[in-house]
Amino acid sequence: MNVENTQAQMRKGILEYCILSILSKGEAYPSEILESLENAKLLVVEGTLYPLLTRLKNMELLSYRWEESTSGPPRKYYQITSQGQEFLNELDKTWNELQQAVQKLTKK
Amino acid sequence: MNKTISIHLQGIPFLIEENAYQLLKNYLDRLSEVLNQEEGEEEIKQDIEIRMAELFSKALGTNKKVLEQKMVEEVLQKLGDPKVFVSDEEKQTNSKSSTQRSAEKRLFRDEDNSVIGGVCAGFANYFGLDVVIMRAIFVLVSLIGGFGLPLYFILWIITPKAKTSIEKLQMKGEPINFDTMKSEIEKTADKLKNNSKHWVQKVKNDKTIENSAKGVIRIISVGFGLFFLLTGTGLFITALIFLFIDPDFIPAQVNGEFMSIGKFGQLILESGRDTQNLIWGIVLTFAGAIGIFWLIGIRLLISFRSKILNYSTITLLAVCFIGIILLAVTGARTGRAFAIDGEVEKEIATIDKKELFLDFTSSPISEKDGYKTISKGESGFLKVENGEVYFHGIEVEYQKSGDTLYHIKQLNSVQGRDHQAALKKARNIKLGIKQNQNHINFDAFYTFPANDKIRGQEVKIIIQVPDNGIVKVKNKVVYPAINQQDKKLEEKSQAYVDGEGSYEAW
Repeated sequence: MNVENTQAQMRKGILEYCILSILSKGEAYPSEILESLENAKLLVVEGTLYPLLTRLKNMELLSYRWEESTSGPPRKYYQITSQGQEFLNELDKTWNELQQAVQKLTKK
Repeated sequence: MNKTISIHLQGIPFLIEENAYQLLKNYLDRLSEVLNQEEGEEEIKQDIEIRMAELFSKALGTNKKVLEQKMVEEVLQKLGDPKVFVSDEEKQTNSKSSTQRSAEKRLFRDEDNSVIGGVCAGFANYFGLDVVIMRAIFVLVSLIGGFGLPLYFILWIITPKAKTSIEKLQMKGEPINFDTMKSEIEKTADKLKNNSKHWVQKVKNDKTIENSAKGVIRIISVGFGLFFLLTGTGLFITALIFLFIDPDFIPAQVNGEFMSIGKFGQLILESGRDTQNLIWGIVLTFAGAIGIFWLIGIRLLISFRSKILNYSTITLLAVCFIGIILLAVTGARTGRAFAIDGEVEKEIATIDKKELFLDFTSSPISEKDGYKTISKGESGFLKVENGEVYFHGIEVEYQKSGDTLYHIKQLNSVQGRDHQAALKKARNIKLGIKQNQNHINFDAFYTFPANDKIRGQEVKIIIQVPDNGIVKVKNKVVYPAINQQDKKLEEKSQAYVDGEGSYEAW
């Protein structure tokens, strides 16, 4: 297993957490989510986002609504559900624990 | 100049270059393939198409109108390889993923390398064989087993055609990733370019025409092509057999064995030169005909036209024509050897009795261990033994005698190149006769030297009967003939004795 592959795995693992996190700050359509993720260098290819969004929506952690756009195709605005918010709170806790554990372990 | 295609992604219209269109279409096909039966497949596809539309709009800006291949490539690169971003999802949701399946080889018809329907090319890909070898195997199976053609049509119907780039890669068993896909798409693009040059290729690729009249005509022409090829091959094999094996198949006997066509020719043809001409005539006619059949077959099969084909056809026609001329010359020369009739007659017996007894024997009878041999071991229409040709059957003709005696004459007739030759041959005909007072025994067969060739040799026995004379065959009155119903005399003056010695009058 090469480094790139490991990095991709790590990114993917926390991607769901980050998507929920972004949407907890307010609704957004995929291009906006992509922008945030790309700025944070969490995404290598954009395609990765779409199966995740659909999965989270099917788990009823997200919902969406359509909005017409003047400049292009209609936009699909995603927002976090109350269930999603609870899920995110759980993930926040886990993330903090993990972060501390990892920091402790990898401190030199 | 590039052709553009108009498409729309989630309701947004775009003009796109043909090459770029192929690339995009293949990407979406691949996405469908990878997402196959994934939960929310349609939704994911819709989301990605929306994103594509956004990115394309952005790439075009306000100045450009047409999506070029480079733009599409960039966008697809940005979206990433469907396999990479879907596979992990699939591992979580269902462990039997399509990633394994996509690396597996699958059987498709390869219409890119097709002669008819690409069945052989598809099998060649599947088994990793050269397509020519695969076709050779198929043709061999067809020739030997005979079920190759129906099998081909069944396979043509049941095997799917490799349509998308992914299917083409699966057909060849190549791994599916962005690079192999791109090269496959480039191949397709090249082919599209070439299509404008070759209308035949175009017919193959154009789906609308495939199902229409032209497709039917193509199938018919392929059918006829195969027919011509197989007929040509059949003739070829037949010719080889006769040329090199010269089988003894003619039901005539030479020293107790069946006769070959060569030996039969020697019995008919005047000289060795004629025999040579006959053989060359047959060889050239066959060679020309076989070649022409093959060329027609190939033309119909692969719709291939070139000057070389035209020249070869003309050459083969000429060869065939020369062969026919040789055959005609030989035929004419042989015909001339039948030109003149020659007849000779000799008086066999003169008998001064009230009645004449005739008998006919088919062949000398031998006896061994108390058994008489009655079968003669003969077959067919002629027999050659020790340089003598044996013919069966003798004619009998009754005439009124000019005096009070029976006159029995033998008439030999034959045809020859000229009168002298004919008369000489006529004298060579021999008929076995035994006389004992007013009992005469004839052989039911006659002979002549094989060197005289077969020239319509015939033997007739003429019997001149005096007034009130009676002729009996095996103690039965045959002349004057009496009608069994009316008990009246009947004018029957002709009779024939067949090889078995049985007598029939008319």
